[in-house]
Amino acid sequence: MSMTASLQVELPQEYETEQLILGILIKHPQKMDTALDKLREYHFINPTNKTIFKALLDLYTKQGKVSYVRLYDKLRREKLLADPESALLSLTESVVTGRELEPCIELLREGYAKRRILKATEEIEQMILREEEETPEKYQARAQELIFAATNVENSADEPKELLDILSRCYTNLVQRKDGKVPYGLSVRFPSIDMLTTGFKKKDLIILAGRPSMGKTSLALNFAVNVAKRQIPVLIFSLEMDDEQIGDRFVLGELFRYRDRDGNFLIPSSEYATKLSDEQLKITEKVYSELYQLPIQIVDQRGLTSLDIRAKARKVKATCPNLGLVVIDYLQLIRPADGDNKNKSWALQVGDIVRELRDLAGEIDVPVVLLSQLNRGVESRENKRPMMSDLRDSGNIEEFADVVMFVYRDDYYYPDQAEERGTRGKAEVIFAKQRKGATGTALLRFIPEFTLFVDETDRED
Amino acid sequence: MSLWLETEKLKLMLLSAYARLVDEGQLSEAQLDQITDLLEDMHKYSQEDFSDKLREICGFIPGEEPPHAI
Repeated sequence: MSMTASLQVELPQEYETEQLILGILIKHPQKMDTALDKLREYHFINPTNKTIFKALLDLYTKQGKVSYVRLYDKLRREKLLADPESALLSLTESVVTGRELEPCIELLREGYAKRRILKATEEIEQMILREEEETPEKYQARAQELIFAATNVENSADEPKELLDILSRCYTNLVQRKDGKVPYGLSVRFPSIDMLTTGFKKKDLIILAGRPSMGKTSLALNFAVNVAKRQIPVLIFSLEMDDEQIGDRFVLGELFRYRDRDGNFLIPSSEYATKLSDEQLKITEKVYSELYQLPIQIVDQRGLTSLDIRAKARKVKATCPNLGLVVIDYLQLIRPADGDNKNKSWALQVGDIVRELRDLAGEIDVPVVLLSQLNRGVESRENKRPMMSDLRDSGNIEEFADVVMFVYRDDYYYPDQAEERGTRGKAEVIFAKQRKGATGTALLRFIPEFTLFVDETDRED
Repeated sequence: MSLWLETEKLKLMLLSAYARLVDEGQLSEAQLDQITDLLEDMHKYSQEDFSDKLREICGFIPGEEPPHAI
């Protein structure tokens, strides 16, 4: 069987099911909205039935009503079928009650899902027979990718999309934004950042870069907690810190809220790291019980390749379809995949990794925040605010990224002049690139004892 | 088969028969359009009114001789 043939395979009873659906839709046009919502032309396998369904949709969307007479007229006039009379008369032979529509639609969707899996298995077989990949790991990763795409039936990205569908979704989003109902993307609950980004968009690769000690990990973990607090699942890949270190950071961040009447912290970070009083332990236990509820999964494995990360993220997405955010800490610790890197420079290898992770964001339909170090060039400048050119030695990061943001803390470089420069505790999140938005700077306050960022209300454009 | 389906089937066969007359050049596409509209609204007419309308559109009805054949 050829690879394209698999999608043409007719499974038992599909022809009859397709006919039933068409018969029901003609008799009960009020059910067309259900069909519009759940059924697509590509779910039909029989070419005649597919043509009738397409004509039916067209009639309904343009005229708001359907009938055998109108359908015949359209099929004949536009020469869509050679013998429209026979095709339509065969539909009238079907037993039709409206209640049968949804089970029939489910049957067709199942058939389509099975054909996609069949197609994926054929592609895997061909890939192996043709020896297209270089290492077993690459075969495994490609096979997983194909199966994931085939089993993720709702994600029919490989199917052409109707402009009408796309514009309908855009319009719905627009109206919701106007009514202030939902943000455009995923809010990270830092108003100044959300204002600049209008939320992290699905499928976007977001680079969060900075020199060491600027607070990249802290900011990314703050994003993760803020998102998870709304019961939106988050997946964190930590190639540097282990899971307990991350857990402690989460707890510390929450302890910031607990202060006495004079504003003193009830549990300073130094005490959390040593010995707590009974009262402090009670507060900490309360924080723990709150954090237990958060839907955060952590992979704290060192030496992961981009293929490993993609495979693990796919697995999580498969069991957790509403996964909202992926954080990867950090790019330079991701191991290049074995095999084809012998003659490649480091910059090219990093470029490959970034491209893989951008593809991951698209594949699992989730924003991916990728942390990245910056080269030392920053240190040699008087103005140490990072610039896009500071990424240029690290592959094609700026080319592949949808958003590039830098964390910069002036008081780290000039601690003695912080009061004079008015930068004590201040952090700048510089948006140097936004494919779907404006560039600018969000101002945050960094509380190093609690590895926590909090929002400043003002913003520089 | 339900009465609704029987009626739809009948309309479909009737329309198809008139479409063949269009293919043979005995009726125009404009006349077929009018017949399509008439069949869509068939339920609004009595049998006599429907026959009259049909005769009005194309000058004859099935079973009658087309005028030019007389």
